[in-house]
Amino acid sequence: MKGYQLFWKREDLYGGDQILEKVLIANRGEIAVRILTACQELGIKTVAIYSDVDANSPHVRNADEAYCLGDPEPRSSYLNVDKIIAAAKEMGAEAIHPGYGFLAENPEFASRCEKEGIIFIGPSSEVIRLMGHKVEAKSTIKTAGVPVIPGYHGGDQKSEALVEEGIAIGFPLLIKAASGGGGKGMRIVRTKEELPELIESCKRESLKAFGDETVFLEKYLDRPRHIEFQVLGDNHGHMIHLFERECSIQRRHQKIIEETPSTALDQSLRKTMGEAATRAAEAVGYTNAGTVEFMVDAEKNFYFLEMNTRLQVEHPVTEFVTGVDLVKWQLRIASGEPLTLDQATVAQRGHAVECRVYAEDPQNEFLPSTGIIHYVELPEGVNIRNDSGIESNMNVTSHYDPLLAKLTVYAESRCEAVEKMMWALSNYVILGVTTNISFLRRILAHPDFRNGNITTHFIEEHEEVFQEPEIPHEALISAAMAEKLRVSPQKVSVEGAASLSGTEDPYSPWKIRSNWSNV
Amino acid sequence: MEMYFEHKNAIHKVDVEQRSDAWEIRIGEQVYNVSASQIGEAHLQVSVNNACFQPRVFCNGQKQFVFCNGETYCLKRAIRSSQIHDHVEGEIISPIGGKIVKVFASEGDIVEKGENLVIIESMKMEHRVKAPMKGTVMRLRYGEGAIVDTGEVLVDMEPDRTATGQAEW
Repeated sequence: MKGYQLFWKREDLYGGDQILEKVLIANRGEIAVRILTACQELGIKTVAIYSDVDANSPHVRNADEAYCLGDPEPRSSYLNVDKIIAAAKEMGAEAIHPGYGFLAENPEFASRCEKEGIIFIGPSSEVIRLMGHKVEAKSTIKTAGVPVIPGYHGGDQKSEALVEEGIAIGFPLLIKAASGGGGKGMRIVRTKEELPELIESCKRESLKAFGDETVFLEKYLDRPRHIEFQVLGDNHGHMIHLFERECSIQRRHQKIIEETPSTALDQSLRKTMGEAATRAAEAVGYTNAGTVEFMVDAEKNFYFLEMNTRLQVEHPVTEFVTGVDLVKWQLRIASGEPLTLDQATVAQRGHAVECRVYAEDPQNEFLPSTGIIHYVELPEGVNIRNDSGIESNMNVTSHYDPLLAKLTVYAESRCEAVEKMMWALSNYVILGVTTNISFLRRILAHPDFRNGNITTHFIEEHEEVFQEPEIPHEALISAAMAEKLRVSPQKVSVEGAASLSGTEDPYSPWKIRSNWSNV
Repeated sequence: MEMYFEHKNAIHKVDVEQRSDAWEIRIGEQVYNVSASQIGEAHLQVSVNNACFQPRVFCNGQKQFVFCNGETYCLKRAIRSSQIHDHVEGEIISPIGGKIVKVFASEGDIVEKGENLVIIESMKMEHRVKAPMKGTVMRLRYGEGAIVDTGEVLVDMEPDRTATGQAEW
């Protein structure tokens, strides 16, 4: 899209006068592509950063300019604050979009940007710092009148005190690392007897993983759902929410299927939770796009879990049902523009589902798979959205997250959206690395999923989704015919096929100049 | 011709015979009447007993990735139903793991016995893989720059059987 000409005046795309000229995207993969597309649509120049192994990636090619960070090791590349700040200065980028992961929720990075006079596209560093510390975040949110999970977030970290507090909250009980995330530093305690030992082991793991042995205790919820609300706030005190996302389908505490609306909410609960989310965000002075995560139990009680101070992986489902482009709003808000969307006028229409396509093997504890993606074919159709950073002949390395792409679909109703997703996954071709595509389909086909009967324990409670089908004879026949037709990396074209014959055999299929080997 | 494919530690035997108007494929007790053509990169059109589908197949050495009716399968071309790697006439095996730095022959070439086929570089040494017999180079499984393991099939040759008249096709 280099040299793409806008037919409008740039002012028509913005309301304000502080227009961003050039943005550096401090990320890679699908999200970098997503962000730079939004920049291009708004007439903003883009700078991609990349490590040596990503030199030929789509995010690098699609940007106006690219800056090499060298060593693929994350600490030396996408996590290296000094290098990225230097890149922004050298390339003349006045703002940095961090995407998700890497430096997106790192308060030091945001504050460094602030000091260097670079606009960090996200909330202020103080808000990121506050929300990053889960104990402080919860107590702040609680004072705003938003329910939090009953628990102990106190400073007395002596084992005896923790045991006493734990018994007071009751069982089952969850021990969590204060600085934790992604499922690390978590223990479920079912009985009083195992509490002391599990507190000790959780502390040890937290110290090792996060350099902080502070833990907190909370009530472990029965049949919990993970439901989050998208919020959007500008720098002028205006805050709205853009409804919920149901993200209960998780493996290893990471989401793999998200949808909106949630089957768990009715209009009144949706309104109550949406207002709570807005209140929580306002309480901390939140600006830009953010997400307030809640746990909802079987009795439809909801509790604040945490706030994600960034663009979420699963933001496309919200974009489908509301028609709002969240990344463009992030850019506009960062330029100082006021939010012109109004809570009364934003609406949720239809149903959207997202699946995360990972290079991983569900049959092998979801371990990431690496290798060359030889061939990619993405499904296309009405209301099918691909957020992808992959292409044929790309190498999937072990340096970064195994998320390859996201597939999002939209339809009038939930059942239609799920069927569309089934179709799209059945037409999603990735040859070369093991993916979770087939696993995703088996979840979507499950009666409990179809009935909206889902919790965060869905995958561990439904072992049948791991059952792979027997290899059909069609697949074996395809393999045999590919050998016979010599489908190979040398790219045997149909036209070229006839000339390849080195034999004198009149029955050789290579002798016949037609698409069909035998007619 | 018998072909063996390994999938999830099971070996599947596929017997392929060319008939005048189609391929006849036997898998277990089943017999299929098959025709197939390549319609795009890695994209086949296959008709099995008149039912059509369009699998995507990518061959990488002995590995085959097959996408068929919504599922993806990773198959390995096995040589025999046993795991032991018997020598098959016409399959030129890599004697060492390493990088292919040079490919001498092209598909369709007729090569003499002892002619160089490829050079594999391994631990800074070059190993020349030569044709063990006179014949036609039917398929080069790897290009220059590819990394191969010991025992992988590098080249498929059709031995020159003009003297004996045993040509399969």
